[in-house]
Amino acid sequence: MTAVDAVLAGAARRRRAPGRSVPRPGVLVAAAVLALAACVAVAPGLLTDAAPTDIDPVHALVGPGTDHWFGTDQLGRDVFTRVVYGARTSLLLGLAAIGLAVAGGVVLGLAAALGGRSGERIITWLTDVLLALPPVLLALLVVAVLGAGTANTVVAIAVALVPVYGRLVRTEAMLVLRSGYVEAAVGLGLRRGVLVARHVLPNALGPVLVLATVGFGTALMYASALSFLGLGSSPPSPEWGLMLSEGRDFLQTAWWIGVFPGAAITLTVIAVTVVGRYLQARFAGRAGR
Amino acid sequence: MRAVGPVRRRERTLLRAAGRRLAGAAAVVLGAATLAFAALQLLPGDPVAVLLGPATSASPQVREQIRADFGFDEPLPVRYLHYLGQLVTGDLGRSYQRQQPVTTLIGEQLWPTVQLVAASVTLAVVVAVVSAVVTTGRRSALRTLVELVELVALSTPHFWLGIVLLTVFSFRLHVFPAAGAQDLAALVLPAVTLALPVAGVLAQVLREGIETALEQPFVVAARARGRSRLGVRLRHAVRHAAAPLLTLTGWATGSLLGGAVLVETVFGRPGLGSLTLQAVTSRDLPVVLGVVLLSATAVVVLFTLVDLAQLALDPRLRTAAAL
Amino acid sequence: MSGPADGPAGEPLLVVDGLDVTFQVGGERVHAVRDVSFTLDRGECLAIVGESGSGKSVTARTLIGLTGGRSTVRARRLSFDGTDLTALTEARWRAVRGRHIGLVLQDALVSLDPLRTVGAEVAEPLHVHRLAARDEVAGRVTGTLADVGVPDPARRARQYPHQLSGGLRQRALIASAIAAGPRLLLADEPTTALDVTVQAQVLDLLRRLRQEGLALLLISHDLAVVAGLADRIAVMYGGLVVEGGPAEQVLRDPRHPYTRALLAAAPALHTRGLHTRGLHTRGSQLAVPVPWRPGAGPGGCPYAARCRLADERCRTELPTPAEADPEHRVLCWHPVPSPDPASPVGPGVLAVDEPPPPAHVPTGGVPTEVTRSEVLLDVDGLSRRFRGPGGAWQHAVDNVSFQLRAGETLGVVGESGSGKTTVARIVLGLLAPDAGTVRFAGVRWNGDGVLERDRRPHRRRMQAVQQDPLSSFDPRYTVERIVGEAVAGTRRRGGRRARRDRVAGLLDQVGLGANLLGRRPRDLSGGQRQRVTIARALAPAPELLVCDEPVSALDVSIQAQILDLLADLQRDLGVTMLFISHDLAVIHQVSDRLLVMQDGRIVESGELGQVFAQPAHLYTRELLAAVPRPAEPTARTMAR
Repeated sequence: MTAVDAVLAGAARRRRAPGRSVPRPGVLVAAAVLALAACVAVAPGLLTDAAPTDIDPVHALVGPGTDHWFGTDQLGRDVFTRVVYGARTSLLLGLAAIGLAVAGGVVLGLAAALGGRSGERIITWLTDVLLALPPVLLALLVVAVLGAGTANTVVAIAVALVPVYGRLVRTEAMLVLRSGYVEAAVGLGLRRGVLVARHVLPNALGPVLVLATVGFGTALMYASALSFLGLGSSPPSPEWGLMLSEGRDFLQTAWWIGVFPGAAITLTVIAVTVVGRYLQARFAGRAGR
Repeated sequence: MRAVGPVRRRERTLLRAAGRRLAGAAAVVLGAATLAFAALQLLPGDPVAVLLGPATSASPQVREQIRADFGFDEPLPVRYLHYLGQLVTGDLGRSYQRQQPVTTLIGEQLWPTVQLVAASVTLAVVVAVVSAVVTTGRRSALRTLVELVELVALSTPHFWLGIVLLTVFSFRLHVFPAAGAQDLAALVLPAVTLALPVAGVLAQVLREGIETALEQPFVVAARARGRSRLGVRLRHAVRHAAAPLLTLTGWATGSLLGGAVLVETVFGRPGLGSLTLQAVTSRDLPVVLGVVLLSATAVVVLFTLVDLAQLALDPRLRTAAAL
Repeated sequence: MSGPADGPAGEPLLVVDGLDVTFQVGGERVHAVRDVSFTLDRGECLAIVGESGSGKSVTARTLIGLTGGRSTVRARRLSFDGTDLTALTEARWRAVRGRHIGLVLQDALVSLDPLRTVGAEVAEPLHVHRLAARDEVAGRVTGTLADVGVPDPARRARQYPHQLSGGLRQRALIASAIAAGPRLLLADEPTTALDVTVQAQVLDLLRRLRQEGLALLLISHDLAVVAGLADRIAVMYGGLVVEGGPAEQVLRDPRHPYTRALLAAAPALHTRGLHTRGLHTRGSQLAVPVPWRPGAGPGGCPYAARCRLADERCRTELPTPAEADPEHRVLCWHPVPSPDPASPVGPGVLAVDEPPPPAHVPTGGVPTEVTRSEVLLDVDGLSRRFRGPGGAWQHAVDNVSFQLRAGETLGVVGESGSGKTTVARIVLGLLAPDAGTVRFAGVRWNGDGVLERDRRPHRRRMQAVQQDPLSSFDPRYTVERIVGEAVAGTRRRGGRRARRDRVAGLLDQVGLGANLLGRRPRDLSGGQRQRVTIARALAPAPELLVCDEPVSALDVSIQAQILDLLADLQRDLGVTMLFISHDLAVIHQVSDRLLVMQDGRIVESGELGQVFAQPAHLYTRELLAAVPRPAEPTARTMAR
């Protein structure tokens, strides 16, 4: 579940993506999958005429076929339509969570890198503490404090991921601060604020954003996990994790209710991972440090 | 006499390095406890109301009684010290919901989870080592396939993998039971579900480690002394590849502990997962905090052990640690 | 142990005839070694010299069967001690490696397994070839370590590579290569990562091993390094041996234009600011040479692209060996005829102790407002400590004082760890000293509580040229933006257009065309990058230029061009320079005065000519003696 994180942290350390052997056609396919998911999230009507909440009890629990590609659920709703409509919620949740995590990471990381010795110590200690808590449990803890719900899930996931990005930003910022070009800029008499805005932030952010691509997959997975546990979106909204959770009760009789939304999550995460790693491999070589 | 001096000094610096790591670990655990305490204070609303549940209409006297019993009246620093004192004596507080000590609740549910995590760790490491060693340094169809499987494995959410395995092996093929924790057969599917994504990551990191080591100049030097390809791998590369793998152990355990919550839910297994989930749903914070603190401590202990193992493995770190 | 009578009588130990090595890189075949032939006998040393990509390392790897899976090796003959190496299976190769042929690589820090003790690495060939019983191994290891001059060998054997100094590490690496008693040693850049004095010691060790009967194949990019050791020299370029013969002849009488360029480019201890000595005319000397590209003109001479003498025939037809005498072979259509006393590449280059002009006075363009006597930089009593390995405080810089007058160039020379870079960083205001002060142009500059805030208004008056240009450029920036950032002191005066013109002007000043404006630094060659750094440093019209090892990352021929450029700029602009280098020869070419640093202290200082002619301090003498010289064979013979 949090598997991607390790690669993320590891690659940051080694500055080199594992799985650099993913062949180019694979990257193209993955990019196409992501593009499709994005299109569908923006305009779900392109792929399906039905509405995700249309109930049709007569055709409940129909298996996959030409009428209903992914079958129908216990209320006769078309699973394909629901998966298509679920893309928007799921992608948005992941995007919001990773965005919040990166933003928090930038604040923490820059504060640690620029805040002098005591600032660095405090923030390092804080990230150490947060990193010691398993991310899923940390997210659950936040949900327990804030209560269930979509917005709270986003915050919970962001909190769970923030230490990773905080540390990453700090490492990158320290590297940039020690680099020859910052020395050259100091030598030109640039003020600290200009220096940070012109050189430190843009150069530290590049690798972080590339890694955040992979992190987006992780966030998406966490979001669906929390929904799956009944802590995120609430029925009847079509959200992949939630649909999967609803399908759990029908595994023996109607496997398709749960399997297809799960496949959508998995496929998206794989595509994100492949594209993210490709970007990593590409930009790690170009950073030129 | 002369020989004794440096050895003693080296042992002392190593002990000091180990001590420093233990102190760091303690600081992190203290931080986690402080965080837990902060979370307790942050809980919105009146904890007494949470404790009594929405339906009860208790008299103010009863409420005050509960307040005093649970220590909600004391000033903040006193409560903080009191909380830390409780933790040190192994008291994780009482569940709001079940009115039982958290330690008891966790104790009842600990064993199945430990079983599951232990089985998964073993499985993940075995799968990773086999898949990495078999395919290292080869450009073949097998390697491409293995790498693809690893990629899919590490991108697959535990809960979906569990559902697919359940559908196939329990409901179609009837090989394994669908739920429960009665026997070993019931452990197979959850352990596989929990292990596979982690195995995917470990395999990739291990393969990368071996290959990075094989690119080093000392490998050429060793081959130039007459070592065979296999000999270089066994005598030189494996030790170098162990370091990144060890680093991941702490992370992997944390990941497995978190994943266990999901896997236990999917398979309806008893364990810390179901306990945590119930507690989160009913916002029974002491229980959630108990589980989180316990996991954090386990992770920190592992991190520290890994750190010490790295010291034993890499002489360069020993020199750096002596600084 | 096989006796010397193993091979066919009268045949040399190693015979290489018509060696060809190709690599499959992507879809392309790269011809790394072409028709290389040589022989090598016991106690003999052959040096193969060339720059990176010339095929010299591949040639060495071929002789130990480690060229890798993507290579194809073909040869008319490749025999070692009567054994046909081309016919060896992997298993039989293993029996040869380490046992009969040893290999020493460049950097012992990464060529010895960092996780194993030095002793384990030296013992490895003994274990692999089962040459010693378990209880004898330790004794053999200490014996071999003692042989190569490692003091206290029993203790060193228990230590790890990172705990040894660079020189000891390299000795240990050599010990691991000769532990099983091979008769041929391949040494691939064995001294490249070392300081000069240590380099001299390692070369001495190799010389001794050769005298004891070891055959030595020495691979180096530096003609000067091999000069004192090799019996014969083969110069490789583009996979071909372009010139080969007895060492003395090749060094005294180089016939191939490339060999002459190599010899001329090696900074020698006798001239200052000379323009790459006749290889380029004044107009073309700032022009950037075309880098050699593999496969450019498959039929022609690979050097044609860089050769001044090249004509149409050179580009289309591979030269046949022109034999001056059978011993000295040259692969060139236009071999340089014979030593011409008038030629600038002639004996003058090879002379060692030609006294330099005493005090160099800049000849032109010195701004009148700066007088020779004005002190621009005043460094007083600088000290700075760091935590060293072992946790103890160590003085990186210890009570260093010097003055730099406007318009002069002060060279600071020292080996790694001498504190010269720390001095540079303190002077540049990038590091605060523990004690002491720096005054620059009358301003309190560093030390004694001076803050960055106080320095900032004067920052642009002092600029730096760093060792590694690439890391000194923001990776997102183009050349125009890099130099433009330094130009833009005052905001938007004349706008973007004027700034662009100014940047182009600066590029022109350092010999770069305006076509590079839009390029990114990683697409430039090493020499071009360093020119961009210089352009950026000149942009604010600084009074002081601090150059910290500005050429040490560059190939020798490029080095010479950059040094010439700096000397020109210094003369034309009258800029004052603090020039830091580990290389006495480089310092010699640009400096007026010289400071010699050792262990954080200044051990000697004075006018350049005086220090070189009469070094007072022992360490300076050691440094001077350790500098490898192309003409050393003669010097050595004469000394005996």
